[in-house]
Amino acid sequence: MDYLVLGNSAAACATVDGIRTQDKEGTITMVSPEPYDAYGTPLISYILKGSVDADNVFIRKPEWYENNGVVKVFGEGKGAAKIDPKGQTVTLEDGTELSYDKLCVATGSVPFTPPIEGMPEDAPNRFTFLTMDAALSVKEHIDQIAADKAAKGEPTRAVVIGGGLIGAKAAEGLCYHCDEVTVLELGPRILQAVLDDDASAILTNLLREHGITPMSGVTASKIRVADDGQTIIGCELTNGDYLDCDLLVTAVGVRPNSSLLVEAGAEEGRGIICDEYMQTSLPNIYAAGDLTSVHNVLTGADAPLALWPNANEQGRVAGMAMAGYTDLTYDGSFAVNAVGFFDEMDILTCGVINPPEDDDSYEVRIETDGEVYTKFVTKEDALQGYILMNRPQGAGIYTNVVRQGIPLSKMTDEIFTRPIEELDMPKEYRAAHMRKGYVERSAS
Amino acid sequence: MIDYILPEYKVDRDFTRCVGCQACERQCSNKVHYKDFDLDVMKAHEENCVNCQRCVLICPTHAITIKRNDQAQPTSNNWTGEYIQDIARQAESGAVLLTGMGNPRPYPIYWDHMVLNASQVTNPSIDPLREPMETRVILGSKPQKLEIDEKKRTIKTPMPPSRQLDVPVMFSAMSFGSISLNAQKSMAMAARELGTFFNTGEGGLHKDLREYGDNAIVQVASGRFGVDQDYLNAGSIIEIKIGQGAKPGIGGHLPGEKVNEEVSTTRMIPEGTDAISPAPHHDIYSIEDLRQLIYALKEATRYEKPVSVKIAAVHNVAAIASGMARAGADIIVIDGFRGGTGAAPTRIRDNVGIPIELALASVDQRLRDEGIRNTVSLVPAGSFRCSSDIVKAIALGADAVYCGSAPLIAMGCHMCQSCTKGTCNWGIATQDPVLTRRLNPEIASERIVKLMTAWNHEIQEMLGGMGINAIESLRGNRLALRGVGLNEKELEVLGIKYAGEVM
Amino acid sequence: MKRVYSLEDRCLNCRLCEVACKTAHSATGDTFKAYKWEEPEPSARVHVEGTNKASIAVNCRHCAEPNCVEGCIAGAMKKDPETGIVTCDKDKCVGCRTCMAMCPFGAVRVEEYALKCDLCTTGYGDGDPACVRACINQALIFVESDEAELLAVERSGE
Repeated sequence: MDYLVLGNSAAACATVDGIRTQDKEGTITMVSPEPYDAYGTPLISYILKGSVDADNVFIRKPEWYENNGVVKVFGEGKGAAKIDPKGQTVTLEDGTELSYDKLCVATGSVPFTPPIEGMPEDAPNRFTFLTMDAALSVKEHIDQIAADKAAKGEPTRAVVIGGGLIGAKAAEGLCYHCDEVTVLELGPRILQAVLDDDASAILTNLLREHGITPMSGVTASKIRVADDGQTIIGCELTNGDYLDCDLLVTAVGVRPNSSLLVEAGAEEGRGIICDEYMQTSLPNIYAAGDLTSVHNVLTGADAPLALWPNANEQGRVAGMAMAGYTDLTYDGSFAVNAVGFFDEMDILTCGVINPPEDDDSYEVRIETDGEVYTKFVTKEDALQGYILMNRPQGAGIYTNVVRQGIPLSKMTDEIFTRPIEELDMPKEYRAAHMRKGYVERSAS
Repeated sequence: MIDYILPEYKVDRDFTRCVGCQACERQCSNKVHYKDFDLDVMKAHEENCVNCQRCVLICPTHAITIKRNDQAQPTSNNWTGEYIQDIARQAESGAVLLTGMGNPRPYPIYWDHMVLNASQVTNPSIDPLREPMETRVILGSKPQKLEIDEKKRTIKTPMPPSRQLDVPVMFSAMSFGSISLNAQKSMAMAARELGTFFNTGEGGLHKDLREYGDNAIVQVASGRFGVDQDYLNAGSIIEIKIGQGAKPGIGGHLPGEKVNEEVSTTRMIPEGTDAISPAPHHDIYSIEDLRQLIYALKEATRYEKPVSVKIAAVHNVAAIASGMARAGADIIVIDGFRGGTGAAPTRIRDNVGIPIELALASVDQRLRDEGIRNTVSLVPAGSFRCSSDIVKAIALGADAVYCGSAPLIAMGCHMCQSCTKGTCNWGIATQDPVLTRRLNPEIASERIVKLMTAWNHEIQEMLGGMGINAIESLRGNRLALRGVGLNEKELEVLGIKYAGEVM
Repeated sequence: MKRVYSLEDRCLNCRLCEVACKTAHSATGDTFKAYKWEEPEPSARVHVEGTNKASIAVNCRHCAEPNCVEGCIAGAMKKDPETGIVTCDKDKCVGCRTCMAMCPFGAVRVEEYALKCDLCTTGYGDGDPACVRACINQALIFVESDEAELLAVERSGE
């Protein structure tokens, strides 16, 4: 059996691990345009910040590839260019053709930037922030710019377009290198998807303390460039303001890196549509990770869920199914996010955070005390989601309450005002913990 | 107002060891230890300390020592600090002093004045590791003579009910109420494992312990708590409790606050009511009355179970025992004045009754003199501290002994004598669920089993040393004992010769 | 694999397991120094919840398919394929707390990096884990999961 895995991040590695739980013999080839071994993509902001060395971000040991018999096809020109589902081959950008018996596409997502007037084609000081190379480039450039500006006695100013997780973390990293960082978020608040207004306000205050200026409801309307026609020098804003800009990071959003599959004929919704074994609508082709459409078990919505644990779970299911194991299925998921800023603030969120305002079946319970902000969203007798800002204790237990749909009526209401504990779980669930005692989904 | 009562103990905390983990605080039901968070040090309300030693043993760094408060006392042998403090207490409370466990006063302990014999040259000793050594005991009445059908090889004489013990020790009566269910269960489990008996005391048999019925002695006391036909039939032996060594002539009183739902159901009394055991059985004013009760109980259990009668060792114990034997008791239990209790008036415990050694010797002698010794088994109780005490008791005439304090100590009791407080930190003399869960029956029963196994080995060694290979052969063999430091009268009552005296 | 299980009805809230764990994970192995002298102060990985009325020691279950490992963005949380023990590589951990949000037992804590039970395998002692040895009431047991399952069935009286 020849397995081919496009991608080399969480989902791809999990796919390999999944395959190897069942099939120790088949050949596995991994394809990636990046030259590196698999690294923790979310760590790139830590690289920029300087708290993690670029050689300490790998999620698998170097010998992992060898031990699993993986043929590495990594580097420039090694990105996949075309999938031929009939011939069961994949053509790479450099023309190499690889055949497969089972293919898993785990190519993640690509940055998405809406067109902005005046944006130069090839600006040397404009960056996205999704890969290690991007982070390293930002770091290199910003330090150089900062040095030049310092020599002139001028402040260094960076602008980040997009105030989501990527943008906010990029801003955090940047503020260690330059004097002023502005984050432009067209939506109503920073971290729109994972926070509500109040929590976002607390975060905004913290960012301000660290020299970051988040602006919401605003984005760049026009880019001004230097005389060379390429170097960005400033942004005109939709509110009429103008910002000097020595370095621009665009982090408005991402979209599934699914074009190859779509071109090959795979069915796509908001992401690639897969069955419970992570197989696409094409025979022998699987997909895992950020490019897939995920059924949200809480809301019922189908959309990509670009989250690390989800990529791992999907990859494992895909890999095992590719190797013929069908007792493990992927039945959808929900978001669990952890993000921290400046070692001063930790934000853990899960599930439904901002329930639709017109749906009164949801109830919200908020506790706030200085920097601590907690929010729990419930619906009928079930916990649907939470924000835990600066109070991480018990987070996993809440997640489990969401996941298992443990009836809230069987627990004390105190779990909304103090950290939940194992002892708060209804007796039968505690007994089950004792009984099974550990998480095991597959019988492998 | 000044409190005239001095703390009895001092908590000596070694601050080069204490890490402030608060384990002592969490484990002390008497609220002795507490943390001063301002100073970040552990402190103690010493006046609450009863010296139960829980904290001492819990402390992960062994930072705690409990010391007697060595406040200077008057240099009088008469007005000791203890009497002065008792007066201070009573001057404040106006109440009878209450206490727990056995008589601590320095009366002579005759076990320590009797020594055992051993074989030398003229008779061989026996090695119990190489040769069989019988520690089995059969309790119950034995017929005057045995008629045997030689042809059929059967016994023609009707045999009264009897019970076999694999070790010559039973666990004394301690009621559920005075001790926790876990404590009683520990003894029940140990009794089953060891092939002996535990005793329900006068608190009834909890439904959870019915499965240990074959190893249960069910007590019928003056309060008749928990007694019905099922109860009598659930046990293996029935015991009528007339008196208790720690408080002869005194009844019992379990305060209403200890009568929780479980205790109430088991005792068959309303929840929260005081459980009062009257001083006498109101239907027993004579030996004839006792006989009526004995036979009523036998009748109720189809004459299948031995009936035991327990009395405290008092002045005319021998005559009373004779009457008990004649009243139809199968087992006579004599509880000496060092016997333990969950609660007794201090002055009664310390001053009423007689030593078990003397009582046992005189009872055994009297029954033999009257030719009725075989009609009963004789079981002394009241402070058997080790295996040699037991061997000496058997030589004085006992069939087996009752041990109460020893299994409690094996479970964790540290003899603080504060059973009456109901805050036993070892989970024994309490009904507080926070405290009773500290006593794990699986651990506690195993410890009791180990203790008894060890004692049994020691008993075998002592028997072997005397050249005896069965407990039966030692019973009443007072030649195996000699006295040291005893006067003529004591030797006479004990029926033994002085050490070194020619036979 | 052998895991540490906590028997709720036996736990006495003495928290000696925490003391033992902290000592076991200290640099000196001396309880007093662990509490009063060592910098940084070592941390216990087992944590007792509750009060004297009801308490339970919460400990990592070393899951067969651990959520914490699945969630770890840094490749720091790992399950050893041989021993099954889940440990966190403190040199790789970035303290993002995803593991905290993923662990259904609340058994991971993050200070500078994720702290969790390592079953005392990383050179802190031998035999049973320190918490199990320290438990005064056999409320913490170190047994094969099959045994724990049997025990659970037995204890629930099924």
